[in-house]
Amino acid sequence: MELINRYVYQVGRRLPERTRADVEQELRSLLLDALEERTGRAADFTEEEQVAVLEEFGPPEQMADKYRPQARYVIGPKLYDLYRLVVTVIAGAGLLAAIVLTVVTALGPDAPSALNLLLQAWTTFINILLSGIGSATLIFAVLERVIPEEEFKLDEGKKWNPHDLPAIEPRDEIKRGGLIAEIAFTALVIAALAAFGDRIGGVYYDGTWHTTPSFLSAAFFSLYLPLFIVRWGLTIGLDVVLLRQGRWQLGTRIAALLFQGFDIYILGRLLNGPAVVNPEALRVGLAAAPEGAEALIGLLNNGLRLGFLIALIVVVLDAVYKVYRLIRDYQLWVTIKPKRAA
Amino acid sequence: MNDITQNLISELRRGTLVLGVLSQLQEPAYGYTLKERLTERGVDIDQGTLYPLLRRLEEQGLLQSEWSLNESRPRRYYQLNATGQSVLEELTQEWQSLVNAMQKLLQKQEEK
Repeated sequence: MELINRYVYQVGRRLPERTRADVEQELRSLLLDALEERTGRAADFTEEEQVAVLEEFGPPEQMADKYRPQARYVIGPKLYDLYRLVVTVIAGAGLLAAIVLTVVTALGPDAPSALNLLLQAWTTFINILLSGIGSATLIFAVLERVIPEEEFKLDEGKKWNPHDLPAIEPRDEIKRGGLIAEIAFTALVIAALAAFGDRIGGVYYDGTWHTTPSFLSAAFFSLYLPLFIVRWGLTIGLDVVLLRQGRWQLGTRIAALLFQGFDIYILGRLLNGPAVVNPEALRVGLAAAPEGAEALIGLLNNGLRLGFLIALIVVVLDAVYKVYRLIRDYQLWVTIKPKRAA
Repeated sequence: MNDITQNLISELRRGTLVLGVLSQLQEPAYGYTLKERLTERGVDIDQGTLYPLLRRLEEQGLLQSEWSLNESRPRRYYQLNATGQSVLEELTQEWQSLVNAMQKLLQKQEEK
């Protein structure tokens, strides 16, 4: 039944959420009817039997397209794959151009601060992406309308093969245990930091035992901790919604992306703002070796900033990839508005 | 048969599909039996065309459907509703008048 499941999944993922589950259930039932009729059995269908029936039903893209015939397209299914390829190439080229420009600027004599550098890279990337995708969309939208239907047979002669159906990606599934653990852990961290953050220090011995002031700076508590608490609160809120909905949906995916935008803001503040580490804690703890203490303070601050910079780059790249996946999976640029029949 | 003729025949048949399908849904039927029924009566329709068409006709308010859970697997049964019945009658009249008109046109063509 693997090929049948894959086929149903591939059709369903191209349909609006409103009708997806119902169409999937009906399609599975119809495929099983066809298999039963063909084999005289109600179960244990071989792969070849499944292939034969799926070939009769036709490629999943076409089947899905027929299930949403009222949809109006800027770029329809005929050009969709080619358009997607062009957009991916533009996004890749934009990313490469932004990285090259950033590296060249960073190595130059008037290199701006790390945050400005990142902002510049981000702006370059978005500019290339928007102008490139805008132009491509315009060109493809015109092609969609001016070239006759018969001219679109780009893959003519290429027979659809059910063996090529991709495996089901359980991307929409949630792990309840993981979400519950995340909620509990996040709530615990918020409570612990809010209640005991100012007591996270070290101990030192100078004949008697003493405790240092908190390792975390005053700026951490006044500037960063409120941001962390809001961000973690949003995580808990999203987890609760996911637990209620039972799976990822478009709304929750967009929310998660917006929260990731908030992460980028927080990392930018950490990178550019006052230090997280309280130098006094180290100066007190290492009073016997003041030079060592200063070196350690410098090392910690630089190390943390480097960590924030790496995290920022990773989060930005991950966000770009997620935007691409979101657009691809939900076909956001193709369907303007499913027009319901009167 | 060349491509142009084949395309014109497909277009001609496509225009009659809705009437053919509506005519067979006075009694409830699920997708596969309806396909078999149409094939037996000389209307060969792709499964990939028929099943979405049933959905579309339902969305247009001509059919009603219901899941039946009393069989080996759940099946969705479709049937004409009152609007569908009335549309079927109008389409049938239109079809008859079209057939008459076309017969006259084609007879005249043969007589020439």
